[in-house]
Amino acid sequence: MKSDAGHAYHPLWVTARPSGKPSSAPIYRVLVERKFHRFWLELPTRVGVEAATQFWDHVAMTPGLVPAINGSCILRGAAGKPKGDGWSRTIHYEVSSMARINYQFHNAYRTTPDGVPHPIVAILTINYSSH
Amino acid sequence: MSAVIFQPTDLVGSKRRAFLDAAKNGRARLRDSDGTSIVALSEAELEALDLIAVWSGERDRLFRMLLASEHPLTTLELGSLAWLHSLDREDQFVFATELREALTLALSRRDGAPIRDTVHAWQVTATEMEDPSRRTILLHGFDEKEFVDAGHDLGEASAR
Repeated sequence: MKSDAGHAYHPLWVTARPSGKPSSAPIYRVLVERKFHRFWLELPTRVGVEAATQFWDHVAMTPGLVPAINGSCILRGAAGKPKGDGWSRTIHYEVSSMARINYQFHNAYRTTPDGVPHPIVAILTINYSSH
Repeated sequence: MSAVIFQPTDLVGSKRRAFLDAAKNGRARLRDSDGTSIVALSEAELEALDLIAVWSGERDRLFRMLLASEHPLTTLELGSLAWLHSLDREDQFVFATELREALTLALSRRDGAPIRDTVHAWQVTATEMEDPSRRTILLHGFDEKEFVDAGHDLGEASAR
């Protein structure tokens, strides 16, 4: 089931992998902050499909692990604090020297108090300037 | 420090390996013919000591300024720490605290990595906080209404 880009988060809508269907089903549903949605759509063009796919595979499968290829760190201070109970700290992922993404993940997010818990990744910000 | 004092001629003689091993394992002392005492150590340890010296001074300077003033520190006041300007006072205090912990760890390990890692993470944080849009989102809680699925357009864009 596909979602229309830009529509509100629906827990049953499947998100898309840049280079097509993965060999195994994604574990985490990937969401992106509305203000950075157009940045997200630019990602394959900006960094290449391979790098965009590497990022996708990382957040869809193992968002809490240290990336095998790219650099990452935990943001410090207030910017790094979990968004709430169950949320991770803010992870800063260097997709390339010109693309950096901040995200948090939740292993058992519920859209309603009695909803079905499901793991999600929330892409908070995308930065296309060099550091 | 080892009590062994090498001579310049030891560097080309049978004690060359002993000199190098002493330097790699801590310190190697050599006395030149004019009496000058020279100490050799690994570059990694020297770098660690340099980092400890530099960041100890920076940390003390920052802490003094934060205690002396209740207003946000200006970039001029921050000087070499001007990159901290995008962070509020509370975060600047936290940075000073974490830096102190990193300095202690670096000294105990004779390894500059804790300092480099801490400073890098805070510099990255400060850069991300410079943009008002990113700052707002990073500091606010999660509101699912503000999030959308990554969407199928990304896959279509990559296929063009």
